[in-house]
Amino acid sequence: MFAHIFKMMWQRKRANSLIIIEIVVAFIVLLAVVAFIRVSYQTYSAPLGFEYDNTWSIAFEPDIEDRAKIGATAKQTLQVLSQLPEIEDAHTMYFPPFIEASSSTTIDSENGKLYVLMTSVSDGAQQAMGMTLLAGRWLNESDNGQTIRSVVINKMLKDNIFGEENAVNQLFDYDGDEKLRVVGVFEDFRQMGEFSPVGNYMMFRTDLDNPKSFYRSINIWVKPGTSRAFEEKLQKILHQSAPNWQFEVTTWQQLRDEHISNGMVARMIPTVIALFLMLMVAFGLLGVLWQNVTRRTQELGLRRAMGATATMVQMQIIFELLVITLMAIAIGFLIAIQIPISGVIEQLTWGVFFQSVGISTVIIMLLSVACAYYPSLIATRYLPADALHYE
Amino acid sequence: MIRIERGKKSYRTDTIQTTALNDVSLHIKKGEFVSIMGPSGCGKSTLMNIIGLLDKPCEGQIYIDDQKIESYNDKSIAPIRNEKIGFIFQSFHLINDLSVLDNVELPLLYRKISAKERRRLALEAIDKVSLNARAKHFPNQLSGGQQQRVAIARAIVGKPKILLADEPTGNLDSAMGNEIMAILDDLHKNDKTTIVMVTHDDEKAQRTERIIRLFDGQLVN
Repeated sequence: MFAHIFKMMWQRKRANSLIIIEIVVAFIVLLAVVAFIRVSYQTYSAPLGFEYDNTWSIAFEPDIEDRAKIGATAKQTLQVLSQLPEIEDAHTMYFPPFIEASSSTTIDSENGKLYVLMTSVSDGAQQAMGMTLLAGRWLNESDNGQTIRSVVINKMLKDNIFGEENAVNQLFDYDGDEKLRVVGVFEDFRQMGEFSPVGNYMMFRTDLDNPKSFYRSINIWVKPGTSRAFEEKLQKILHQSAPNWQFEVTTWQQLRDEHISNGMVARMIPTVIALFLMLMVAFGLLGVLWQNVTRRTQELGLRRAMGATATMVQMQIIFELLVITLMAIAIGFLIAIQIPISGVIEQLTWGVFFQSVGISTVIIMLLSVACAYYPSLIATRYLPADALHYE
Repeated sequence: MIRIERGKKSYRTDTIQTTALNDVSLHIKKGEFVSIMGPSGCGKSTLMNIIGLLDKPCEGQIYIDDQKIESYNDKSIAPIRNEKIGFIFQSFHLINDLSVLDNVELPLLYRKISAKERRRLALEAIDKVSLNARAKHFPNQLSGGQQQRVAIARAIVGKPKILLADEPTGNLDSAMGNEIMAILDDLHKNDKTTIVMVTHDDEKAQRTERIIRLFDGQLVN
């Protein structure tokens, strides 16, 4: 029987090749959608590396006239804030988390050029954010006045530059001739939030005593239960410290909510387009397969007249379509595997690729079985006498 | 061999009910060569489909090879169609994507026999209709007469006791029609096959042992 089915399929190679092309397209589109969702989920669910509860960000816009005094004014403001009973801790940070802004650089390594995000924070900020130190120490006053600047780097950057070696006290090239000394390695700090890819990161120290230090935000850790009503009091104190400066107070939770909402919208558009495309492909596939089975109604009637049961005929149709689908998936797989092989999409790891292939294969197979099952069920519901005269 | 008792078949649409067979009782003996004649729409093909278990009567009893058809359940009647009945259709109903040999093998696919045995029986049937040289050809490479001979080979490959031929010469010219009749005569005389043939052609009908005439769904003789 199998030889008979394969013979029929070979003889119908032209018609079958059209179905195969349709399924290859459907498979590749589905694979892309599944991989995109899988990568997005993996990125979203990766640890942020810091905590954002009870943390408020104060972005400030200094008075143009006061530019030379930014460091001193901000330091004074920080000291005033630290003494408020509602505030547990206060630190500067170049940019707060969850906003689409960050400083970046590229670093040469044995693994090629590395894209690295970076920031600068005052002493103790990492502890306040609940970041995890894996090796060495956080930046502190002992880093003042060193000829080689100290940095702490995340694990990914450490792995990319130093591999398995201990990175603490090692130097690496930065920005042309400068070298940086690694004093600590931390787990991660995904400054741009859950939707940002997991990447290389390093942190410099902001020396509050250095008038040249520059930063864009003060971040405060308020006592649990502190309400937004505190913001009013905060604004008054801030304006007393720097009367001509503009301050904008936002909670990190608020920044995160906005980040997630913007991220969702940005992803919703391609997802809706992809789903629409999938739907079109699925309908196309359904139409092609439906027509393929329907035009064989006479043949199905003949087979039943020759002694086949309706179930035998239906199983044959489903088997044929599954073989065609598997062939199409194999072709689609060979095309799609070029992407992880070439490494064009960094986030598309082999694990994600094979998971996506598995999910897409199951969905396409189920779709094919459904597309073969229903029309073949209808075709075999005809009495053989009617099926033989079906036009 | 074939017995119909008070067979009735009608078709119903939304507005109208058409009676195709009305209280038909009929007995065809083993080894008999019978033709069914009548004007178009008199119920010849319906009668043929009911005898061949391709259609279900609304009322009445059918006996095939003295076995009463109790149920029209697919699983019960598929083996009877496969083993006891061979079909020859006016429009041949060959599968164009299969070679002559593969078309002839078709009924045997639904039996538990080896591929080797299937091939042997198919070649034997092809030999009977003198198409050995065309075994590897495809239906669209054959003439109408040759295609009908393939259909006959397919009908007899499983050595059925009954052969049902629905206007087997209807699509053929006279010479080819005679060739087909000669093969049917041969199967009847030498293999003692019971043959029921629907025809419009009086001359062809005269070559059979008995003519059953139908008019408006009823037997008239």
